[in-house]
Amino acid sequence: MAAIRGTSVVLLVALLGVGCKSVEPYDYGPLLDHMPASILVLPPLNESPEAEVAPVFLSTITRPLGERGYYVFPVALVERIMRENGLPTAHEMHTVSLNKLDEVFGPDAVLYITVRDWGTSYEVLASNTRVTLAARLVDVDTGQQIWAGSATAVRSSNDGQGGILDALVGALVNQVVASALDPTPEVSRQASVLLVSNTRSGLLEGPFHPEHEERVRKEREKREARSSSAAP
Amino acid sequence: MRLAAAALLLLTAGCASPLYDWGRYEESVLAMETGFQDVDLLDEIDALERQAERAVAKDKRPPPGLHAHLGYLHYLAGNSDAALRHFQAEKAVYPQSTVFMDGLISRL
Repeated sequence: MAAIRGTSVVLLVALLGVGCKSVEPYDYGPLLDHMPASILVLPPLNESPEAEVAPVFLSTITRPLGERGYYVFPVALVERIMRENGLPTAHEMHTVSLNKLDEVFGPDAVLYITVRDWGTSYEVLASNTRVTLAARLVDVDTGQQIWAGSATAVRSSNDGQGGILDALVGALVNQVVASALDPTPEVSRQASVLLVSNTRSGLLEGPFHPEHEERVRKEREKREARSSSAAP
Repeated sequence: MRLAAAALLLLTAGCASPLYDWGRYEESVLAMETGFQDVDLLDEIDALERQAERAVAKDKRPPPGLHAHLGYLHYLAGNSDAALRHFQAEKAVYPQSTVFMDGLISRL
């Protein structure tokens, strides 16, 4: 898998509340009840200090969603069409009503993404490239949120390297070549993959995935087992 | 490196065999997003046409969005017939795109 290629990758998922005790399983009920076949990804809201994150981000989100078994509307084309229809910014695109999105695109669900962190920070001993994504998937027919998740991917220039001197030189060199070899696209791809496919709270395999039926059946069984054991 | 790889394997479900040949679709998304600065539109169309043919030759579904994206590139290059053909192909492979494709076709 291409995402594993990087030699110094530290990956974190926002596994909120994970401790030594048992972790509450993610509630897939709403997703199971409104399983979408098609997902409209809107250009992301950008809360990072970087000026423009949408082009690179949008070039890393289709593949993880497609490989997860969903039809993904052509992201760049969707953005163009929305701009041409008087919506110049992601912020405005996120305010369009579900009815209107349904009329123009006809998706089963809309994915609203916010980019929280984006890009590289340079420190004394290392540079860190970080991408943090938060996402909400909304069912178009009911307006209900059917899934939500967040993920962070970090790549540090100096993971697994030698002494402090090496690290200092490493930071300098990294800073110099950063513009030529920007790791942000790769880190964005990793964040997208984690968001969509992490085993604790990622999206269930969708209708185009060969394991869709089986996964849905298992999740339903788990839910039934939990609700019957919770009954008095 | 090993730790990172193990972490990714643990955290993400089996990615053993990809569902699609993504080819240069996502690079092409980036090219369109950045206004084809370093990319020649006609070269881009050629490359994606070959990718679409490859999927047909292997009797595999092209990745979602590929035909629609390619159709729009044809439209930008002034070739409405080819645009129409690809919008219809997207719809045929993925009926989920019908509303959107019909809208685009009506504007050609």
